[in-house]
Amino acid sequence: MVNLVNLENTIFYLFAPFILFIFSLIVAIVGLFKKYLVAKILSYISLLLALITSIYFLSYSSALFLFNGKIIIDKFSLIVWIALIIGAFFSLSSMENDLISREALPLLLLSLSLALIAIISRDLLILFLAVEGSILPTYALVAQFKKEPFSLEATVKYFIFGILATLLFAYGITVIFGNLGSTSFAIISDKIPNSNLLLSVLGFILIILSLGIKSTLVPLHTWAIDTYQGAPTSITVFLSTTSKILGISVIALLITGPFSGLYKFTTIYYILVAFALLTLVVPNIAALIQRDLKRLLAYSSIAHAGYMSLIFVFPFQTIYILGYYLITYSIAKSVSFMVVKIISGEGSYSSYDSLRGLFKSNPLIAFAFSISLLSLAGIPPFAGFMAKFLLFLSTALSSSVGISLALIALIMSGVSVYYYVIVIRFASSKSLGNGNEKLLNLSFEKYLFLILSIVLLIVLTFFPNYFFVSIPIISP
Amino acid sequence: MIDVLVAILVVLPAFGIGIFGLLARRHFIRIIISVEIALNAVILTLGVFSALNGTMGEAIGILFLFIIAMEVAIGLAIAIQMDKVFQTVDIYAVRKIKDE
Repeated sequence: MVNLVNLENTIFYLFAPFILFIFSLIVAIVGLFKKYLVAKILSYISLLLALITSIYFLSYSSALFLFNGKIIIDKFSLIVWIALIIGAFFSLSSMENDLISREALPLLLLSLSLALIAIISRDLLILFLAVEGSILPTYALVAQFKKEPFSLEATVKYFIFGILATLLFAYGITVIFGNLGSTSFAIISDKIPNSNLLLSVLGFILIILSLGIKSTLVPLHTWAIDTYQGAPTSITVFLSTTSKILGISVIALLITGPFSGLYKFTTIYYILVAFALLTLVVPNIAALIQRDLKRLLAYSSIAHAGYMSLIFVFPFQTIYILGYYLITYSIAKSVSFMVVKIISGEGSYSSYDSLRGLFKSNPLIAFAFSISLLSLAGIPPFAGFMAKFLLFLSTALSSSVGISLALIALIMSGVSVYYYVIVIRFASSKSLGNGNEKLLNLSFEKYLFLILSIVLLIVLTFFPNYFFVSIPIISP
Repeated sequence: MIDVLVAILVVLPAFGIGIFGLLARRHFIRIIISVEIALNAVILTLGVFSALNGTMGEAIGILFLFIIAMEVAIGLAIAIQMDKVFQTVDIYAVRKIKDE
């Protein structure tokens, strides 16, 4: 029996998305009066409230069923919420007044609030509305500097692929609805074994393609490099964490929930494995020849989508690592982009040479940068190592395909160490000039976040079990 | 069930034309028109489902219409901005700027 909840309790349980939505309106109004500091502090307060409530709900032992089970808050969604909110925190902390004066904050909070709803939705229609509603503000976020040709180019590419994803998602839902007569996850998972297989597979593949564009799986990743490079760097922090985590975790939700009945068909299985394989290999090789910091980090974030997509191989055994992996990825990736923002501003170009002499002039920035890169590469004792280790191990133990994919992932992880270490070597080398490197000025919040990230990336290594997720619950 | 299959197969070419236009056209306004063609295919399919069983298909169609209309509005804003910055809405012109 579903535990029925009244309206006040519903608002209480959905506190995190609600508070972000309401604060996005308040921040938009405050921004009109050019009170940028107040707007930023309000955004911090809303994110902090959302984070605290997510951590508080983790202490609940059972899942919460709202709206007749159309929305379910379980451990999976809460851990993914935390990973999403962490990315937004870092994105917010790297923003300056030039972006805030262009109404970036309300759009960011609105996008985050809908991303949170997408994770807890257990109905394809709510999922569609939430995912698309979460992607819509990011078009405007990427185009914040709309007079800059590169920013506009990034927006055009992002828009064309984004609207392609929307259409594929819409058609996928149409096919599934026509075939099964419902969009609810529970009914879909009941009906799918006895349905018209051709149509179910068509609908599923269309939805996976759409979410693959958002989470940059490899044949569909081409927009991501230019968009990550052309977007303002603070926004790239948000895109590379929030949009990607949203895409990957929604795919994980779908393949363990409503469409798990399709998983025994080898065609579907090998399509997903092929996505994982390509996403592991291609970006890691392509990153070797990059000579621009922002492009390199964009390729590295696509490579991490590949490591995350290892869960496609045998989702029921490996999904429990996903939450921990997402949180470590979210911290490490956003710190690395944030340092690029501190060094070379919001612009599109940041050569390796701009890193020279960083360890001497700004040791804290250099340490945080190195630790985040080493964590992304998977070097012990940082949190990225433990995440990769557990993910590869559980993938290898799952099946025979899993062993070979885990081995490829391990080799590609070794390749990735090369390009991360080159960047760190540039940071530790002497500067080309006369030795008077400029001391970058850090505001208090950036100082705090850099120190916090160093501490978290070391401490989280020893506590992976707090962030293990369970298989998403789809029906009461 | 065969009705559903026929409905999808009949409208699938229209969706394909829309997606092809979205990927192959150079003119930004034509891209947006292609999006509308693909959207019309989706809504037509939902209309057939609605005629077959119940009215929920129409409700889903209206939701899709809202979402994609919003995206198209953003697309038109991007087109206006492209015209201001590049003096053209040819998306290949945007790509060329990077090479120089």
